Order: sequence, then C-alpha cells, then structure tokens
Amino acid sequence: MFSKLISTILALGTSVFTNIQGVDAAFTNGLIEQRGQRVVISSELTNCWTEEFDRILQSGQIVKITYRLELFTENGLLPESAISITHEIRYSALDETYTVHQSETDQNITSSELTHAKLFMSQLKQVDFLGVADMVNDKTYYLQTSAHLNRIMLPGMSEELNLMAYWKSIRPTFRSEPFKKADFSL
Amino acid sequence: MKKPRLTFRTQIFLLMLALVIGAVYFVRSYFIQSLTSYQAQVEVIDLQNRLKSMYHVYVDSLPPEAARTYKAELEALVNDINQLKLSGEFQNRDLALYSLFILIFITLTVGGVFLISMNVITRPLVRLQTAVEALSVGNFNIRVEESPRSPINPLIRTFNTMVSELEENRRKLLQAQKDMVWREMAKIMAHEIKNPLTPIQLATQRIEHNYLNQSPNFQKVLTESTRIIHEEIASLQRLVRAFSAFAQMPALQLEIYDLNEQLTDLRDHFKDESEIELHLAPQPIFIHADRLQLRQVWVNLIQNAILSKKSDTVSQIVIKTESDLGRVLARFSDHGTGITPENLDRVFKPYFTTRERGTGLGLAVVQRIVELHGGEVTVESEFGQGTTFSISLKHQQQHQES
Repeated sequence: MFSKLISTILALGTSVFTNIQGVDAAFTNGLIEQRGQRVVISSELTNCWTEEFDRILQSGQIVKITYRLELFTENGLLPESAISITHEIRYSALDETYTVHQSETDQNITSSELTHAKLFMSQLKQVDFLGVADMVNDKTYYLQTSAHLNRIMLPGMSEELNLMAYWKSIRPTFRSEPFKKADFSL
Repeated sequence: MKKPRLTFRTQIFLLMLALVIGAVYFVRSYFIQSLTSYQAQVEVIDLQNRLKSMYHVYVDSLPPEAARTYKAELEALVNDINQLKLSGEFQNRDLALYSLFILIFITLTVGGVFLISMNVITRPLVRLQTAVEALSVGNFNIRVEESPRSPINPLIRTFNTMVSELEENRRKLLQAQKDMVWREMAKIMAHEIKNPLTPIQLATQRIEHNYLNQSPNFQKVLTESTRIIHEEIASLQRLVRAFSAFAQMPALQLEIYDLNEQLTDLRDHFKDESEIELHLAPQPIFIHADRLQLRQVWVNLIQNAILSKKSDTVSQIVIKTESDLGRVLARFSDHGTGITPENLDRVFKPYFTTRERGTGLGLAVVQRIVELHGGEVTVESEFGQGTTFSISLKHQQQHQES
C-alpha cells in the first residue's frame, strides 16, 4: 500500500520534473542524389550527444539509433516506400574501443576515439533508398527522415531508462524539398 | 508602527510545517549522504580497473578460444560494474529530485490535513465563543449547533444544557424577585396606608363619641378631627402620587446645559437644611440631559444624605464634579449613618427602605434616570462613617470647546 503510494507520487513527480538535461537533436546536410539507377540518401544527426550520454556509452550499454527513411507523395498519408536503418554502438572496457555496427552496410567500425564513434553513429552516408525506376512519373515526392533511440536497463534500476529523454522525447525529423522522377536521369 | 501579530492557529501551523519540512529534509539528507558514501567506497575499490589489469596479465598466456571466453566473461563483469556505478549515480540524482517532490507533497498533504483538522476543531469553538459572548449580554435563547465529527460536540452539548438550565433558573429567579418585590411593596403600602388610617379612625371615633354624648366641645372636636382627617388623606395622596410618578417616568427632554450651574443653584435651595460644600470643576461642564429629571436625581441624593445624618449633628454634604475622557463624574459624599454591607446591594431596588416613613423609591428613581441618560450610578459606604454616590454621565465635549 505504502510502496504503491510512493510509486504513484514518483510517477506524478517524473511527469512534472526530470533530472535529464535534453538537447535539440536535428538532421543537417540532407542530400538526395543518384548513384547509378539508385537514389541514395545522406544526412547527419547533429547536437544529439550529451555528457551523460557519453557516460552511458562508456558503461558498455548498447545504444542504438534507429533511422527511418520514408518516401511520401505530396498528398499521401502513408509512405510509398520506407526503410529502417540501425546504428549500434558498444564499448569494450577491456580493449577501450568503441564498435559501431551500421545495418545499411552490415559493417562494424571500431575506433578508440569516442568522437569518431559518435560520428559513425550519427552519419548516414549514401544510404541506398530506392531505384529511380520505382518512382512514378508526374508524381511529386518528398523524403522524410527521422530517428529515435532505444530504452536501456541498468542494473539496480527498477525501470528502463528511455534514452529519448536526452532528446527531450522528440524524434528529430527532416523533410526534404519536393522532387520528381524527372529530376533523376534514367 | 504596530507589528502584525500571528494568530495562535497560524503559529501552530507554521511550527508544524517547520517540523515536517525539517524531518523530511533530515531523512532526505541522510539517504543521499548514505548513498554518496557507498558510492565513494565503491570508487575506492576500483574494481573495474583491477579486472582490466587481470585481463591484460593473463590473456596472452591463454589459448585463443579460452582467451575469448575469458575476455567475454571479464568484459561482462566490468560492464556490469560500470553500469551499476552509473545506475547508482542516476539513483542518487533521482533521489535528490524526487525526495524534494515527496517533501513538497508531504508538506502540502500534512498542511492540508492540519488546516482541515484545525477548522473542524476551531469552527465550533468560534461558534461557542460567539454564544458565550451572547450569553454574557443576557441572550439566553442562544444555542450552539453541533458540527459533524467535531471532537468538541460533548462540550457543545454540555454548554447547551447549561444555557437551558441557566435560562430556567433565571426565569425562576425573576419570578422570585417579582414575588419578593410585590411582597415588599405590599408590606410598605400596608404600612404607609395603615399610618394615616389610625389617626383617621381615632378622629372619626372622637367625632362619633362627642356627637352621641352631645358634648359641648363637639364643634371644636369636629374641627380638629376634620383637620387631622384632611392631613392624613393628603399624606395618602402624596404616597399615591410618588408611586404613580415612578411607574410612569416621562420621556427625556434633552438640552445642553452647565451641570456646575445647576448644582450651585441647588446648594442655595437646601441652605437651611444642610451645609453643602461644592468642589466643582474650574470650567463649565456641559451635559446633554433632561434638566428637570437630573434635578430630581440631585435632589433625591441630597435628601437622602440629609435624612441619613446622625442625630444631634448638622447635615454636611460634599459635592464634587470633574470631567475626563468624555465622561462627567459627580460625587455626593456625606458623613451620615452609612449603609450596612448587606443593604448596599439593595439600595437601588424599588420600595426598599430602612426608614420608618420612606417610600423606597428615591434611589430607584435616581438609578432609573441616570440609566436613561446612558450613565451609571455607584455607591460606596462605610457603616457609621458615611456614604458616597458617584454618577457618571456623557460629557458634551464640542459644546464645551465652543
């Protein structure tokens, strides 16, 4: 009974107060370009790390950023095409190295520098999105890119920690300029 | 500038609030300090770095497969330690914030509960206080309503019962007083009527006797007896007029006049019967009063003093006047026989007298007229030494200044 009361008070408290200083993560340098007969996407997530976040990374917790790339027609409610990409980082305390796994290439990149590792986490480099031929003539498209973080469970804590709190619980989203199939050369 | 004073309820509330905040703050500080101390000890052990050293010392001596397993196991262990440390820091930080929230919550809750409880207790108490005040000014119809769940309901019930009993006792007392007054009045009336009746009866018997005996002095007897009868009838008429005047006090005819002047005139009026010494205030004392009725008051007091003089002495009366703080005080002192302590409380009661031929209305009239003027009359007396009557009236300040 008493613990329920305390939990309720804490739940109310967490909804009003938070200890976490969040940042306004945002996409920059968004680029849609043609590579052969494929449309590739590049972008970078900036202002997405905090000091506390770094300490979570150094604790050996797996931190994952999931990127969602969606192609919308001008008035469409549902995406015409969509892919999800994950960038996952893991710290090895014994080697003192950071390993980033990028799902779009299924490659592991290892670095002893946290700055480099964070860059690998936050950059999307020429991600193969769709074939030019898959687009329909006369339709106007735009690309929407968003990202979100996973939840982690630390030992000794009763609840999962939602890492999105470090982004003020807001998914950074980027919407491109409208484009058409004709903008790409077949 | 006057300092604002906190009510008792506010003082209790603030004290309670300070105690609650202090207690919760103490508990909060204790837990934070304990956790911080624990973390500092963990930090001192430096387990993760010792595990790292162990790894580097032994990894090269192990076969590749065993080295991988060894590394995985140790790495999981170091990660757990690091995460546990981080978790501790987060919990410490959360504790600091949420305990503050709990502190606010408890303070508000306890404060609210306290205020409601105080209200439950004090509201009926305020009603009780109001009722007591009403009772003190003679309102015996007052009753206090009980409040639901109030702990002082038994007190309220007792109070209501007490007021009912008081009202009943007061009613009985009033009735008893009325009966007593009527008995006293009947006794005085009987006595006062009996006194003239005896000479009247004797006079008529004398006339009858002389007439039947055809006395040669009959004419003379008739004349004397008739005079006696007339005198006694006149005495009876005076008695009736005095009672009638007391029963029908005329309405006040208020005017502003100088009290000192009125008392000076009275001294001259009584100069053959008493030596009146005046100690009047140096400046005129203007009062807003019925001149004739107040004259009656002063006359009654002077007559009372004259009648209470010791035998074989000359009546001496000292009259003093003074004004202060919007009130006028007139004192009438004599060196007469004084009043016994047991009679002192009864002197203003109608029909109360200790004299053979008094009506018992003189001082009752004094009190009645003074009270009609919003004033007060008091008496101090030492039996065998003398009596002082003090009359306090409102002072007509503005008129005095003009």
